[in-house]
Amino acid sequence: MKMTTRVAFDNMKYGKSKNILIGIAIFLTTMLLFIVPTVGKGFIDLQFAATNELYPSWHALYRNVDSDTARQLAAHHDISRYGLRSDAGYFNLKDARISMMYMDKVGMELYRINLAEGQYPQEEDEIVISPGILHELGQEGGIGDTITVPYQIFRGGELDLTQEKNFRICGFLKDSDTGLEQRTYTSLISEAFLKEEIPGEELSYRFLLQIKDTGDPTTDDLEIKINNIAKQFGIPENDININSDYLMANYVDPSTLPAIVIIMAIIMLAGAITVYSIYYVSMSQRIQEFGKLKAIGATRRQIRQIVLREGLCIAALAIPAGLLIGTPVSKAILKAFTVFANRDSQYMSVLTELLETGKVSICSWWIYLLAAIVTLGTVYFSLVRPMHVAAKVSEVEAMRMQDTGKNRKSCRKGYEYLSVSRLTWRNLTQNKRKCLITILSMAATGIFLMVVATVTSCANPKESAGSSIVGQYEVSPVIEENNKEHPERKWTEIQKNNPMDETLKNQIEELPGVDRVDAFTNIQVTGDPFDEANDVNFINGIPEEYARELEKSITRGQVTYEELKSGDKVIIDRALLHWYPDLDIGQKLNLTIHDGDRSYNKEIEIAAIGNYGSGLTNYAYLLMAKEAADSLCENNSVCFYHVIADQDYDPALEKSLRDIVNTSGRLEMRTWKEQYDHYKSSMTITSGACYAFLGVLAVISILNLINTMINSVHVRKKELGMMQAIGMSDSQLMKMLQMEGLFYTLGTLVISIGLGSLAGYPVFLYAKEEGLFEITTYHYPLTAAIVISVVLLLIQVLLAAGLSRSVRKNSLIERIRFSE
Amino acid sequence: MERKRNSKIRKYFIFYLIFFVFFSSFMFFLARHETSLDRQRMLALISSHPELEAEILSAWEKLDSPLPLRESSSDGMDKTSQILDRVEKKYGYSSNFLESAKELWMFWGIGLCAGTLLIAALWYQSRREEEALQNSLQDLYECLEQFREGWFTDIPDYENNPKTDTGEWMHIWESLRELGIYFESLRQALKKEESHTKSLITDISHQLKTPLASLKMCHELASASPLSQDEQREFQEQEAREIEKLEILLKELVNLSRLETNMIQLDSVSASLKDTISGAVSQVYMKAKNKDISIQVEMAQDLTITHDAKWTGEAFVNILDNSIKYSPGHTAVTVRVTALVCNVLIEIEDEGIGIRKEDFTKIYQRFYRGALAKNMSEEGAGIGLYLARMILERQGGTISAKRRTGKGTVFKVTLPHHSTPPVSPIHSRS
Amino acid sequence: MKTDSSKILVLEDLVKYYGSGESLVRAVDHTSLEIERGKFTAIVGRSGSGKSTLLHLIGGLDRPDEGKVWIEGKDIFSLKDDRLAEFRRKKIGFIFQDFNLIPSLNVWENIVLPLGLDNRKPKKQDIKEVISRIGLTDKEETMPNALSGGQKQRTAIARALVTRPAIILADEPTGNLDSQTELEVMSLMKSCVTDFGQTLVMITHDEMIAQMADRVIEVADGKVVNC
Repeated sequence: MKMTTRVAFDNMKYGKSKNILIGIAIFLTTMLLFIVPTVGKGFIDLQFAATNELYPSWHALYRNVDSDTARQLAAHHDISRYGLRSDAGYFNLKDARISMMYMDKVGMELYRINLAEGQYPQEEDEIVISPGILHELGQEGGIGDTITVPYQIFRGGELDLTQEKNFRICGFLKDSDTGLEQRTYTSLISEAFLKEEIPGEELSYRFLLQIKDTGDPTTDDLEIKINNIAKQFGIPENDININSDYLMANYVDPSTLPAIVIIMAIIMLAGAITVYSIYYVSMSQRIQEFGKLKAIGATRRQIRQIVLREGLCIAALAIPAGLLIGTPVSKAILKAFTVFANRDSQYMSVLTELLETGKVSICSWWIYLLAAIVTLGTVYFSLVRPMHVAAKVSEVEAMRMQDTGKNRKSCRKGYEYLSVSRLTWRNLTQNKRKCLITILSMAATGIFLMVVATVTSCANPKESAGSSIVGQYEVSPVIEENNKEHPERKWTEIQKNNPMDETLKNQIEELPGVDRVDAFTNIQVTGDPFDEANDVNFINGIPEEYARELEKSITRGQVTYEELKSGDKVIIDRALLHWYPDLDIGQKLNLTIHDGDRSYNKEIEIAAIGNYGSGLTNYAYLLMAKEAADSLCENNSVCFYHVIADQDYDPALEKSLRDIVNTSGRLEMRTWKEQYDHYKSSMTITSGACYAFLGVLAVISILNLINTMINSVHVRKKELGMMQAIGMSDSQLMKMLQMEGLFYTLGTLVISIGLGSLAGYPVFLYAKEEGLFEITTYHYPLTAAIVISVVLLLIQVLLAAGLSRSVRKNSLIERIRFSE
Repeated sequence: MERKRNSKIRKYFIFYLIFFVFFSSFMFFLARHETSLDRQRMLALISSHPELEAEILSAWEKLDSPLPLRESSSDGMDKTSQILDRVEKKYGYSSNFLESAKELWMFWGIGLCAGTLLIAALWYQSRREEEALQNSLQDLYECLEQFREGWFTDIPDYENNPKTDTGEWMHIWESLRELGIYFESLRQALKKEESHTKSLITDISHQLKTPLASLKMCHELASASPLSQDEQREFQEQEAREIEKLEILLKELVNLSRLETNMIQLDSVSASLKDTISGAVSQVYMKAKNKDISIQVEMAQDLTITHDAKWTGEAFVNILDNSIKYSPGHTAVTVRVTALVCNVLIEIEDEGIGIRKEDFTKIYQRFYRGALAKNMSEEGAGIGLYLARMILERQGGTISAKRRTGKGTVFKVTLPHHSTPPVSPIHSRS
Repeated sequence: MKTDSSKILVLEDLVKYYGSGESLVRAVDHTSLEIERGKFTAIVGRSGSGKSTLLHLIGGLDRPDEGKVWIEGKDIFSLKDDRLAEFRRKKIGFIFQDFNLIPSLNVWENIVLPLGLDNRKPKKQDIKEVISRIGLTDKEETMPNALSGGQKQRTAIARALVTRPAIILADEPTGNLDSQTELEVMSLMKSCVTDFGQTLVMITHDEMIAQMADRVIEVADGKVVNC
């Protein structure tokens, strides 16, 4: 082994405690650097896999494609797979919607439809049904049996007269829960049947396709391709349906990468600072040693090498350890996430299952490599300066017995009388730089912690839930603006036959536990500043009970609820300014009001701008009095019933409301509890993750404190021994060490909590602006501050006690004579 | 003591009284508040059920008063109380003032008891402390009594005694112990001096015996048998020599005894060192000349130091004498003076027989003559260096001897520039 | 508690060994000794004879394997650590050959350090007197690294003067000094004995210094050979 390596190795064994600390720091850094990308990637991978399992796998579909176009499309270069689907018609049954659908094999794969048993229909009279359908028909049967089905076929753009036919069951599908609840089912018929029933020129399919993904396209790339192909074949935009969820799940979304990089950079910084400061603090001790080496004849370069190799030796041990331990920890974290998250959705359960069965592998080899390399780089960077310092040591200076540093004065004004505290103070002021570096590096983490704590303590799930929904339950009709399947679900259509009527209101009010029901009106508008193609905007009619709240949250302008009754003025919510930042008070909007089938123009003035929770606005950002809104429409435009109950969560009441909603079939419901659960769980996860992450960072910087204190004692071992020979008792020594540690701790606390609290407020304001977690009010993170203080003090007390004990292990004379 | 105790009791009593007054008045106000609330409730009831006004009022007032009244109008009472009950149940009041009053009374009672207990506990505690103090003082007193009787070293063990564990008591016992040690050592020193004096007398008489014996022998011989003129003269000369020896010896012994017994005080004043040295040199000049030994004094400039010129000179004489005595003829004795920071260094060098290494520490002993010296014909009582050392050390100086490279000895004497007045050797100021 | 108070220091069968087996070093081998109060006792012996170890044991800086040390009638190794430190602070002064002064404190502070540890406030006048006595009046604020060897030793002596410990233990205090400074330091130390009645126990191999002692004890191979 080369001399330098050998020296480095021996040094490493010699300065044990310092090296242990550095080792721990490197270990933790590696571990974090490994865990963060692993968890991030694993997260994303799991989500993708789950999405893959659940969502249909077609990239896009084109509607109303006739057979010829279908054939041409099939030949397109970029389309890698395609399938066909055609909706023939419906069973004619009261109250139940059973569709008759044809899908070719690939189409079924793309839709992920699997038969429970049997096979696909080939013959004209074969049919695949589900047990629910049998139930609806009131017939029984298994595979091979015949059922009689009354049905209507789409001809000429509408459902034709009922026909009846005997079908032979050739297979079964499983019923979905939602299907059973809402009594909608699907049956599959053969191509033969389709062609038989529908004349050729009317036959139109839905063309399902997957784009070839050579060259790793992004989601944007794919969407462009899909649109281009459609344009080529004359397929109008309305007839394109892109499966964005699936695309996003499978192809790279470029926005997550920077976040991970930033986090890794922070970890690197923390690790580097700690390793650097540990080395810095202990460099002064080693001056003698390096001087001697130099006197023997080592060159500067060799000394630099020694320092570097020493660090790398330690890293060689610590990095693999970090990676090794990081693996099970990341797995545990992902598992913990699944435990905490909402189990109810099918999505999550699929995710959990994937994780447990290990179908998705979490650890990839390149992350190991990445973590190792980055850590090595960190170690190298933090050693650059110490290497430099070590190489600069002059031989003569080092050979002297006492440490005569550059800043040694020969005279100093001293105290008139001494005490233990003054001795401590003297020692601290002598090493101002070391003090500062230690305190600042710890305080940096502390500030970070405080800021995160501020955000998490401001995000109160109760408040967030309360802001995202008004009242305990919200009933609204099922509105879908762009669903070609269900054109009756457009709001303007619903207005003509609004299920949200007085009877419903009374029905709800009668339920036990309901205090009152508040009705909000929504009127669809288009017009002047609004982007017609992509945006739908609504006037929101707010009932009188919320007058005060409306007025209170105005941020600019002035208007009273009375004025809002006129119908000419609105308050706009700040959210609208996101998309239309030019809107201002006094601006007159030229709007077209859509009321059922008719529409007319009206000019409306923006009287004020306010900041409201999403529960109040429900994305209808033009607020006026309900009275006024109602007067603008002939139809019943009530869109929301906010149910104010006396209890936040009443299972009986919820069930009753759900029953009402389900029976209607056209209503949907949101509950406060759902929101609360959602916020609670997402916040628990987020804050948990943040705290864990910061916790590790904190540990890294506490290593710093440990090292500084150990070093300060070590360097002064001889001096302390002398003082004890003169007569300093052990308890006075302990007191000195405690006071020193206390100084560091208090310094760190003051800066961390002080600056951290100050920094927390602007971050809170930012979060409020962006609407993160629906944060509205500022809570000071008292518990976090207290916890940080207590933990730090505890550590320092223990540290000082441990140090003084270790100092006392040697007898006095050993300390004085033999400590070097 | 009694008075103090009484005043203490009075103090506690006053505290208790104050507490009592405050507490009671607090309870009183609380009760009044409650009552007024009750009244308000009653008024509310009345205002909402004016038809029951009479009953309500009577029920309220009647419930206040003790039982007998109840019995007398039991029927009416029952009815109104039923109504009241129903009304109150509906509205959730509890109108029974007596009951709530009971709680308040109980609370008041408990409060008083607690106060009493607290005061008692405090008082007890202070009593305990006082007792402990008394005990410690008693111990102290006994210890001092013992001192008076001459027992200085029997201090009770205060290290591990929990009663005296506080800092201040420790200090006192420590000081006491040291005082005892001081007294004890005073006593020892006295005893030592006694025995010292005794041994001095013994030594002196011993020393005197020898020359006296030879004198006596001379005299006897001289007077015993008829002598020739020459023989007589020889004996007379011998006697004269012995008498001279006796005189010298006596003089030295007188000096010694005086110095030893502190009859002579060293009178340190600022004086010229040069003069002192010159004086000493001139005293031994003749002797040196007789042996053809030259004395050189090397002193750059005169130094004024605090010393007793007479005795210091005496010390120098002794040392020079020593040097001259044990140097062969035709040699030199050098006196070199150097000024150091705090002291003056006077080196007296000779080229004599030297002192053996083993003897270095012994030469300062009383009546000691080195082995080499015994062989010489020169006479000497052996107390010269002893005296010199005593004189020098009493002035805060030192004397030490070293062998010269080659032959001879160098005596190094230091004397402080400014000496603080020497204090008695057993005086300790810790 | 021993009652013979003229013997301020009594060593009872002290034993201190280093190493074991073949490399066993008997630094102090069943040594018993009595030192009189108020006198200057010199301990002489060749290097390696265990003198330093003996001194360290006397001062409580090191613990013996066997045996006891009585100072002013107290078995010092039976005291609890804190009490021992206090004892040392008040009763024992150390003057080593080097490592006497705390390098980060100046002369004044070094001198008043033991008082400060004892929670006593020094009287400014007294300290100034002591400093002038040792001849360092204009060097009160000098740091130890700017002092000569003799000045450092004098500062250490001043520290011993200020607290007036009953025993001063010195381990070859003049070893690094030239002969003139040596004499100066010795005269200062002797004045502690004669003027203030302190007991001085000094290790030395210099015959000249041993002459100044009231009593010379010779140590060889960890044993006292000659009193």
